Amino acid sequence: MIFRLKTKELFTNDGRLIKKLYCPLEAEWDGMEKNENPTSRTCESCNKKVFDTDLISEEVLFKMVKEDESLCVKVDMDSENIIFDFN
Amino acid sequence: MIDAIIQKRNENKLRVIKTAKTEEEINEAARNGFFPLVKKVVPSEEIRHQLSIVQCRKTGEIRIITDRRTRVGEVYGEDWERVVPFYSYYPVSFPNPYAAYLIPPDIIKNEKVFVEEIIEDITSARWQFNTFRLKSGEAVWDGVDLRIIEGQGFEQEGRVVGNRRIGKSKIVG
Repeated sequence: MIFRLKTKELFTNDGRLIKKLYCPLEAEWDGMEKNENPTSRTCESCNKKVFDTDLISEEVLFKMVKEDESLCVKVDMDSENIIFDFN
Repeated sequence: MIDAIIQKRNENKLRVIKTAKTEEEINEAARNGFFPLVKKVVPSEEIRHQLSIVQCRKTGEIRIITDRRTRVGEVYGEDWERVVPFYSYYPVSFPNPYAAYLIPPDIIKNEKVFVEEIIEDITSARWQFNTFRLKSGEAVWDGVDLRIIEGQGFEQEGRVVGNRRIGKSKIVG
């Protein structure tokens, strides 16, 4: 996956847009409730699951967002699974 | 997409230095007044890409997988299976073991230029077990050689990426 910092857009490695990250509540991942399945946490502000891009492959995530465009994700700036684009 | 990252843009609108990759191209440039600064093409052991291939048992179609976390059945369906496990390869980018930067006759010493296709293997980005080479970038003509400016790549370790320190370490949205 590729994360473009200027636009906060998350892409697959071959350039398909997965999602543009935007959280009006500026929710913090570290404060979210952990779920049984470690791939997501629950955001208490809107009671939605937030999925961890580090634990989900880009193809699965692409499918998930296609099915639910409002799905939330977390991008970790330390991730070895994401290339960060500063251009 | 990765190309968009490792292929830096000429944001500073510098003079562009072209790269010739065959004997014919090099000689044609020389006849047109350029000085071909010839370099060996030496693959670096550090530059590695990885892929795996999955195939549909019914149709024979294949898909190239680069993300190691991809669960084949989950993504493509039960008719698909992995036929080639993940392997590393060197991404060949030059047709010959030599190439040349085409130096224009009016270049000035210490002039900053933009190299459209870098011959040397310089690490640009890391992702999972892949290490990508920088395809293009800025360089300085020192009167004899082109020095590719270091630090144009993207290092992900220690929260420093491309010489820029990250503020918020986790982004949600």
